[in-house]
Amino acid sequence: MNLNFDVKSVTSDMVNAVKGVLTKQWPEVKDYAGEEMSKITGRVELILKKYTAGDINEDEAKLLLQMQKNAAAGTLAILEGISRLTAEQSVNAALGVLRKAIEGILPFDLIS
Amino acid sequence: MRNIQFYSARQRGIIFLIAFILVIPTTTCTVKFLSDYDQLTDQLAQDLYKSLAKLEIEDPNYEVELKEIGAKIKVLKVRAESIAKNEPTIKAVIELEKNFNLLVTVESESAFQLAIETMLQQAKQIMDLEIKKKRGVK
Repeated sequence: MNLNFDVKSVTSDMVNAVKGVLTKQWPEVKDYAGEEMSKITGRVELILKKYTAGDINEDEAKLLLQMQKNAAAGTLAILEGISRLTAEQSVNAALGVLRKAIEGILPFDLIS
Repeated sequence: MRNIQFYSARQRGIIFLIAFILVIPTTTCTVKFLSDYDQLTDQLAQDLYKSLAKLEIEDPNYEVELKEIGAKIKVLKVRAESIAKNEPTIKAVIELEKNFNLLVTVESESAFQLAIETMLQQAKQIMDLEIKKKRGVK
């Protein structure tokens, strides 16, 4: 097990990996992504420390690391949800502008 | 075999335009990429969070409480799966359930605390997304 764990660097790498996936909505999700990834890497650091100190055994360390992996996958799903919401808000705002622009031009509501 | 083309490109364009004009006014003015806020999902996630927060491995009722938490996760999953365009929440609950299945094998206090912290973060994220659906992202 590698005990030279640089939390800041790993968090930054994880955040950059997420950024690569959620490019379009990145400005809206970056703070949340940073906070949540930082919690996970912080716990990974703690797991390694506890393992080195003998507070937890190898099996427990492996299990806890697997839990962080699952938690990271869950975090990505939540970030995808936030991205969808952001995209939805943007499209609906644009549709609202379009509706206003064509209001009264046609005898019926094109976009009601 | 002879390739029969029923409509020309121009005719297809006109048909598309007519379909567009007919369909758009009958739909709402907004698009949906994600499910709406669901009060029950929010409540179930909050309830789960509270149960996880007070779970103690040394508690004599630990096994019973653990079973209750497992049941709560299942209910949350069923609820999430019953809602359309809810894939992010469903995936988040599935990952939480995976961690619950690992939690039940934990025996030491040290490992238990870290496991619970992880699951609390996961439950909180599900609540966060629900709240963002209600209030908007910004």
